[in-house]
Amino acid sequence: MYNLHLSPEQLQIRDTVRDFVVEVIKPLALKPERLEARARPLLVQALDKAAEMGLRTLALSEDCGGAGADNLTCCIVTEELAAGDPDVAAVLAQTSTLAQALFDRLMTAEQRARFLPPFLTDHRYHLALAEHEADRDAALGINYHRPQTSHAPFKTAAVRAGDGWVVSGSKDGVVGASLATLFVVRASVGEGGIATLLVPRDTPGLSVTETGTATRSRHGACGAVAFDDCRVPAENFLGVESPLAADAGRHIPQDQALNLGIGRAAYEAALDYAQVRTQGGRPIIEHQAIGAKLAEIAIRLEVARAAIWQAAWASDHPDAFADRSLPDLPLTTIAAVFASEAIYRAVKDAAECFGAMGVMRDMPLQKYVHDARICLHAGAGNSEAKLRIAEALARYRRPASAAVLAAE
Amino acid sequence: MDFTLSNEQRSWQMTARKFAEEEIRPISLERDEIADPRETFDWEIIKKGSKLGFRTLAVPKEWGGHGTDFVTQALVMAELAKADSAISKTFSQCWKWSHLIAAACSEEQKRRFLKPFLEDDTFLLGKGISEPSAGSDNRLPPDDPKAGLKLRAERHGDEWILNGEKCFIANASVGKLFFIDARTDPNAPLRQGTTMFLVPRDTPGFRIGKVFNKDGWRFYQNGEMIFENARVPHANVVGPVNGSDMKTQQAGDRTGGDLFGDLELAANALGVCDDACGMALTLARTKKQSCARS
Repeated sequence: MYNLHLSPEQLQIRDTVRDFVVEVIKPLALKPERLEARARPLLVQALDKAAEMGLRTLALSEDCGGAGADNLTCCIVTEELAAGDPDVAAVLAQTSTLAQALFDRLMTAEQRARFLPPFLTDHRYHLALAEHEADRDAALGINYHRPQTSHAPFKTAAVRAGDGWVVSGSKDGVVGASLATLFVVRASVGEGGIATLLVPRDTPGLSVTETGTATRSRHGACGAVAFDDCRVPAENFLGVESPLAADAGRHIPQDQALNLGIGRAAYEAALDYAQVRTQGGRPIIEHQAIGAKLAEIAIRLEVARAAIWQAAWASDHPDAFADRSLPDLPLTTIAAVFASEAIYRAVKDAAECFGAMGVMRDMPLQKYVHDARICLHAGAGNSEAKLRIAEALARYRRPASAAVLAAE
Repeated sequence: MDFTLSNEQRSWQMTARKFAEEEIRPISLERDEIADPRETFDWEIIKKGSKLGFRTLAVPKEWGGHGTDFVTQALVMAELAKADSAISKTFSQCWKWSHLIAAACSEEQKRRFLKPFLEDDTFLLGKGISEPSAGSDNRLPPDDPKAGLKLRAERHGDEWILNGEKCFIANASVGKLFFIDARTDPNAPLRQGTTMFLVPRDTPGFRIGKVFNKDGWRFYQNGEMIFENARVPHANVVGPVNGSDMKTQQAGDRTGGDLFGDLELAANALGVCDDACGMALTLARTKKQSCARS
């Protein structure tokens, strides 16, 4: 039953988004004044149009008013968007994935009735997950396969007060922070507990500091969010599960699809240039040095895509692990390590096809190299990711409280 | 085989290390932050480095330079690059063309150009080869007369008239003297029809265009050169007419520029890597993660 055909719907949405990127996003994203890493405001106009197309609610079920796309389709769309602009891709992916988790899985009927209608009607209503904390020690240590003696609680705390909760603390690296309407906040409660609360952006005491393009470590209009005694009603308590926590290492590889989109943008630029730039009496693609380089780029991107799509399909079909169709491995973590390294190399090679122009700030190649390097450092980094894979190889299963950490 | 450094080599290395730490490192990042690529340059650091000998390191002793060997040059480049790769490259760019002067210029030319170079702390050197349509084209077959650089030089009596442009030329916006490769026989292939000229900054008809806005090496100035009926005296022809061959034949060099170029980039990159590894080691030794057990 091995089958790599995309469905007609998947092919159609891929083509639609690809056209949208060519016609709407690229003309905006490649304006010379945007190419310098330190000055790249979010393309709100493109984001709005993408939302109108339904990409903001792509993963949300049809029952709730979304497109009900599966994880593989979401990854295909994210790759296409990221080939145009990684920030637009990251913000849409985050909102879409969180919408599915919140409205389809985690919210009570009452919460859904309260939050879903405004979310559906406002194309600028985005969701953000406020989980990461700057000083929280969540990384695996040298004894990675043994239980951690500390659960490294969040410093951000939620305290019950009257008929509500008071949230205080701060988060960083929050994707979509600069424009999110609703924050999904992970906080410590009581003695060693962890809870998730819904904190609207207009809650008194909540403030957002946007992270400059040059200094951030993630794509997608990142920022820091501070909660200064933010009071939310008791009904905003969501539960204890993290919205994005799936089986560790088997979640939707959306960050990797985004990474792939960056690689493809660089590859397509190099391929075009190699056919028009003439040196030594012929297009440089006909010179072996460039031909071999382009071939290596194509190899890296194709194999990365195979790994990412397999992980995406696996996240749609967890039963395929159970029936032994898939290896008992954290496929998303595996795809992340391979793809980030392969794509970074591919993007660097693509820039080299441009000779000196590959390092100029008024050309997009240096931007692609920056963008791909950010993916290389995503999460806790590849060294840590390899330890997580090693844990799986050792058949070590992290206890539940730590498994939540592993999903970060 | 003996890798021991001589006292003189060690001394240059230590001088460079001290200068890099005390003078270059404090200004490195702030120079990188400057948005206008023409404004990243800083003459003070050039003057200070020049007084310590870093500009004239490679000029032979008999001409009043320091006459250091390649090992010393590699050591100094790596040390300077630890603090700022681009500033190190700006100095070593002068050594590159000091080697060329020593290898290819006549005694008369050496007198005319080396003396002011040695006396002036702000005298920087460069060489113009690349053009918008001629990068690797200068090195690739076929030997078609139409291939390679296009900058044209025509002789009128005791002068040559240059027309055309160069791009990406190092030190273009800050240099005072440039070696320029120009086509002097348009019907011959590059290697048989190119002549090298010494072109001072104030040559009539010669000007600098834009400075390229690079993502790295911000301090290092790579610029456009524009020649509009630029007039260069015949006395400034280096070597034989139609004999530039893109390199100094006298030195037996076949690498496209000179042997020094490859050494230069390797030593510079080693310095950058050395510093990055040092920072990573420091972080790894001091940052604590998963320290719940302690």
